[in-house]
Amino acid sequence: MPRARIEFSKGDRVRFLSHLDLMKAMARAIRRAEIPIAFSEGFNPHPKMNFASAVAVGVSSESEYMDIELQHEVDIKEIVGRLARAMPPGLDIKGGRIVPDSTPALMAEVNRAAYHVSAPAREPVNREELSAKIAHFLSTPEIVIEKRTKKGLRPKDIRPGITHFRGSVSGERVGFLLGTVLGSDGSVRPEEVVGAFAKQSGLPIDCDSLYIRRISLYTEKDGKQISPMDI
Amino acid sequence: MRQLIGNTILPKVIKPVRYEGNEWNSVHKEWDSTPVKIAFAFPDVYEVGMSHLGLRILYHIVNSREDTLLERVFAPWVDFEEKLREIRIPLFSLESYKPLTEFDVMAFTLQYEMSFTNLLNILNLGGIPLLASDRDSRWPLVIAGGPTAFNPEPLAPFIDAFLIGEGEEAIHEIIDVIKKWKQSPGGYQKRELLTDLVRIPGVYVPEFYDVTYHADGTIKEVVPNVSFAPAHVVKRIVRNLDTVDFPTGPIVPFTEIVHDRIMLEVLRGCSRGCRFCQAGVIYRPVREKKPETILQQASTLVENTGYDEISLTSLSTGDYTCVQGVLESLVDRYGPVGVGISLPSLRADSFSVELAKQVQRVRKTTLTFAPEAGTQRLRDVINKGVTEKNLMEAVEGAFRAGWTGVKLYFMIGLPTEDKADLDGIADLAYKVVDLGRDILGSRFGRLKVTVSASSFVPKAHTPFQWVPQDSIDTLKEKQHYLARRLKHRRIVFNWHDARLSSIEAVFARGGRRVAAALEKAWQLGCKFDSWTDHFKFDKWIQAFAETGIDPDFYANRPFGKDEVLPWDHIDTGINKEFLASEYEKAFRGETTSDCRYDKCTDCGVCQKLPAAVDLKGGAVNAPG
Repeated sequence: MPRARIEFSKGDRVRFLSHLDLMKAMARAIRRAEIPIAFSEGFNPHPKMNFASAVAVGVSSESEYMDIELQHEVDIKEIVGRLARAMPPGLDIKGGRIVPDSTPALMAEVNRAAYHVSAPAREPVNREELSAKIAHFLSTPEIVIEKRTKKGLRPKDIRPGITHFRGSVSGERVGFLLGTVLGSDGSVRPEEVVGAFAKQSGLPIDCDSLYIRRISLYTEKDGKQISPMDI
Repeated sequence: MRQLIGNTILPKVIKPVRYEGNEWNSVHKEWDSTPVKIAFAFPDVYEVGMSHLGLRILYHIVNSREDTLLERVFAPWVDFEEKLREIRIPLFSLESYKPLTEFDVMAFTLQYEMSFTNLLNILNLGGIPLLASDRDSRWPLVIAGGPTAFNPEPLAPFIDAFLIGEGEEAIHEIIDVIKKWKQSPGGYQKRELLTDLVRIPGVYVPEFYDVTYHADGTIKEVVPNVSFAPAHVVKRIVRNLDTVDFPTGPIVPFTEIVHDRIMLEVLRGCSRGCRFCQAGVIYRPVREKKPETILQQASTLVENTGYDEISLTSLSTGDYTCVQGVLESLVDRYGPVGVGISLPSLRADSFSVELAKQVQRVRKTTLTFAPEAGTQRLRDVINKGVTEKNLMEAVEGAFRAGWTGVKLYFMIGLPTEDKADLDGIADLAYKVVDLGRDILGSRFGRLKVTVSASSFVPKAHTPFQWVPQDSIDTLKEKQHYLARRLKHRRIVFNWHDARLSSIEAVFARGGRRVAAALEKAWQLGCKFDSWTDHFKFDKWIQAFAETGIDPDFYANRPFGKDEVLPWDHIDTGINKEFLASEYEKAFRGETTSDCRYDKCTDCGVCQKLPAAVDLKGGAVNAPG
């Protein structure tokens, strides 16, 4: 069956949507747009759509991806155009392409995420000090945090899950650019990285009011970074 | 404002999407250039309020006017309220995040008594004085409507004007008056505006009526204190459901709401005549939509919302005279494209099970029936036209068709109820279990019979309006008795908090005087009373004590047949004599048939109102 890959953004206004809310919003937009989406077999057929990654409540995103399985071929321009008109405000279609049948599922392919995190500083933070503390943070071989799981608090080393981490100061806020590993083997969340950094560095960063934006999702393979739209 | 809330409050509250306000099909009008601004509040949380069809209808009708905007307000959850109060930001509307005080009108829909404290809390969070007498024309005009407005008296001191009855047409007349005064060059006094409003049929302005009392606390009389207010306020009603405006582009919430599907009203009213039922009285007469109207609206609704389920709503959809044809057409048209049809309310008979079979597409789990009482004697008393044979046939049909769960709704504390009636509830439950054992065979292990017992609350304008409610202790005894009798692996027994039902009865039958207790209870911290975790019975008792209100006087006292009732000046179109005769018949165990299937019952509504029973199918489906 033909498959359409759609790139969309989750804007600031809708950043409090949960992944479930987002999936429902997409399914309804697809129905409004009258896209011939395929349905699963069985008693309770559901539309065949798959997302690259869940984006957390409170987090906005510049680029998210979903695959829609189609009942028959449709011009991708037609799909993108109709879908764009059916999207609720805050969710915007950025593009689309038809991908070959053999393309692996988005979830299996995408293994990196990049974020921008902005946090209020309780006291002024010095730029040089921030850089030095980040360098020290990254040189730590193990960064163990307490992760809340169903079985209570569990220790977890997040260092292997951090691919890059940079900081900047802008007025009364501290900004971070960071990259994390995504996938079944040890996903790391941006608030975990910033939280661990604030704790280790002792810098006056207010981690209760983080403003998190996902900048990109991509596949890291043989040292190359590939966008889901180029796979 | 939106940014401030988004950065400071939303990250710290549960379900922040409730406050998003930018859903698909939400209407955002230009604030400055729209002459009349209405904030419409449902005094409960978003998920409950958004599931209410009346809100959807008025949202659509009012926003269709170019000169008016209507924006939504819900009771913020307690965590959000705490933050609002902490940073001293007044409550705002969802669409434009404007404070309530910037609106011309603050409108409330009243769906149940136990939302009254939330109404006061919303006013207070908006920085609006609670008492109508403390608000002049600089404050928003506070109006209210909905089924619970049929006994408006407990809210009389807080509300400037009530609309009694269906709002689709009257709301335009109300807006026209508000617009006229708002645009008058010399400004206006609130009393001038109210004087104009009260001339609109269906509008009740409490301050134009004086209530006097006898020494024993019963009412002597309720009379207008101005010449231009009617002695009786007659409810408004829509004559033709096919031509009245219906929302076909409703808001599609992001977050899951209680009724998360298309709500397509197929008929209004129910004349089966259950004697405890208020909706059956206030929405008379029965008016149906044409099948063509329903199919047309369904098609537009699916296109405009993208929902995958259409619920055919009404008080009793199985009674719609064209239900089979409409269901067939809808299932044929939407089955192949993954849109399901659902029926929210089913009678306990085999016809209804046939309907349910027709629309069932997901895994069969539970079918719900409401026999209401455990014996035929008591079902005759309440005029519930369902027999044990009807019910057992329905359950058998359900089991044979693959359902393994049955939910049975009963009411306890009904007039004349005795031990035999409680035993009847248990006996019915066990008969259903036995039937399940016979029919389900190897799947008997999956059988689940849920018995749910709510407590009878006498409601205004019903034949049982004179009937006292059982005391809390009596209700509790009955609940415990049933709980003991219903101990069985396949039976789950649920019941409602008797203390809550008792407070509900006070406000269902209370007059103006109980308003003081309501205000006091709110001051003591009561809100979200219908939420088990938030109901504070001790605070309510304290509020009654401190305001000198005896709750038993309203909940547990038989009202005299000659007594002036607090709501007697509100007219549903149904004669009080009819209600009295229904009351008498109840105690004689005599039933009254449905005027759709039998002769006119002379309830009076078709004679008094400009409306008539309007059935669209030639043949009647299921004579009761």
